[in-house]
Amino acid sequence: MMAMFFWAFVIGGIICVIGQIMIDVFKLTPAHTLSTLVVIGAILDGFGLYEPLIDFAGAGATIPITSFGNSLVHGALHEADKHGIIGVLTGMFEVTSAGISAAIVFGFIGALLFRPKG
Amino acid sequence: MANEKRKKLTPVQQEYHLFEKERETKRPVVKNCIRAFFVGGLICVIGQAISYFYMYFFDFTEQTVGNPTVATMVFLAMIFTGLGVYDRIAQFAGAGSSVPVTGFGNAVISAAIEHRTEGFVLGVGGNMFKLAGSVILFGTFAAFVVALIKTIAVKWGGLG
Amino acid sequence: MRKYVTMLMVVTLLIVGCAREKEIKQQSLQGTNMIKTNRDGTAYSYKVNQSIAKQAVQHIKARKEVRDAVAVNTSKKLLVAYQVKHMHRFRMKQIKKDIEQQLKQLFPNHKIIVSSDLKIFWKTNELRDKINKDGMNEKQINKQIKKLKKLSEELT
Repeated sequence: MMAMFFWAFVIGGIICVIGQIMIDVFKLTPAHTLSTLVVIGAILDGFGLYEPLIDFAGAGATIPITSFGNSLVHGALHEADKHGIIGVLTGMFEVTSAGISAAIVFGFIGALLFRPKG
Repeated sequence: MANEKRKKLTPVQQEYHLFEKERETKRPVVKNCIRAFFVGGLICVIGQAISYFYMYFFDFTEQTVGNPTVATMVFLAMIFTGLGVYDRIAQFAGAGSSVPVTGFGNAVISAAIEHRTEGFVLGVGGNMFKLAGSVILFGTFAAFVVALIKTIAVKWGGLG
Repeated sequence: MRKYVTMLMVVTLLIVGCAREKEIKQQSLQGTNMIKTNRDGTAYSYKVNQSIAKQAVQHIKARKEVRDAVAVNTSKKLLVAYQVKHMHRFRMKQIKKDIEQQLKQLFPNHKIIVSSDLKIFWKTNELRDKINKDGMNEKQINKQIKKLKKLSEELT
């Protein structure tokens, strides 16, 4: 179990460093960086490389935004397996919804609870 | 900053670009990367701890624990964003705090809080995804393309 | 008015959250050792013979990628849960396939369920201890195995 924490730390850190390099060296805005990372995650899962990374690093691979692209592809492929090509469209949010729905719900609750600063 | 754009500029403007580039403060890339590594890694360790918590006390497997973990992390992001702590962490950590889902949550939640004075429908509803919208758009579209190509390749190409 | 709405939401959330918690907690494991198992990793029982499980554990543990394994069996089913050494976790899918095949060859008369999941590992361990102590009958064990199989196949 300690190994899991260690590798979650290392892999998660490395993904963040990649993001930082994209911001600092390639001078992308944070929005561009995040979008690129999500696309990279989707492509990696297309080649079947992201799932082993999750097996290996646990939250180190599921917490960074790249996993969002991964789980979108995952849902789509899973659904496509069952229902054919139309499943690509319908299955996309099958697995992922947690991040987005949590962000929406908590975003609204946050707007109710907190006042804007400054 | 794209090169094609610069070609259309007059010589004076090009000169100014070079001048500007010279004067631009050098970003401390290495220091930023180290900070991003530690803060990003730490956030992932917290996520790992939360997912072990869910696995131990509830019926979640390694496979299914991702969703509740992400939701909890976004919840934490809401608390820290509301208290104004997350902005300070972000200033220190850069990508270390914006690449994990908590950064995604922070983008949505801070936009929601900021625009609440404009009302709940036009303000909060309309501006919530101002920053995070592009992530969702490109993520979804890329996923669609990748999944489509892979499905076609598997079905007719006999791959996989 | 706004305060009232906020309060209402918080209270509702609390009630909904807690109601579900209790229900899950009952069937969840508590107070068991997280990873430790007996040396041989199997259980003796007066009612259901666990020798198949014992054999399976021996075979699986002989593999170099496997750190630990537990197994439970009935006359028709064999449930094996194992933990992979961390550096081999990249190849977990392939390892699972190999183990499944190996067990199928070894025990052709049993329906084989294999999982590398930590949660399934904990639960199988708990089940094995229970069989060890209370001597559950075939029907009860089958029911538990079925439950674990369903849990291990969940996607979201």
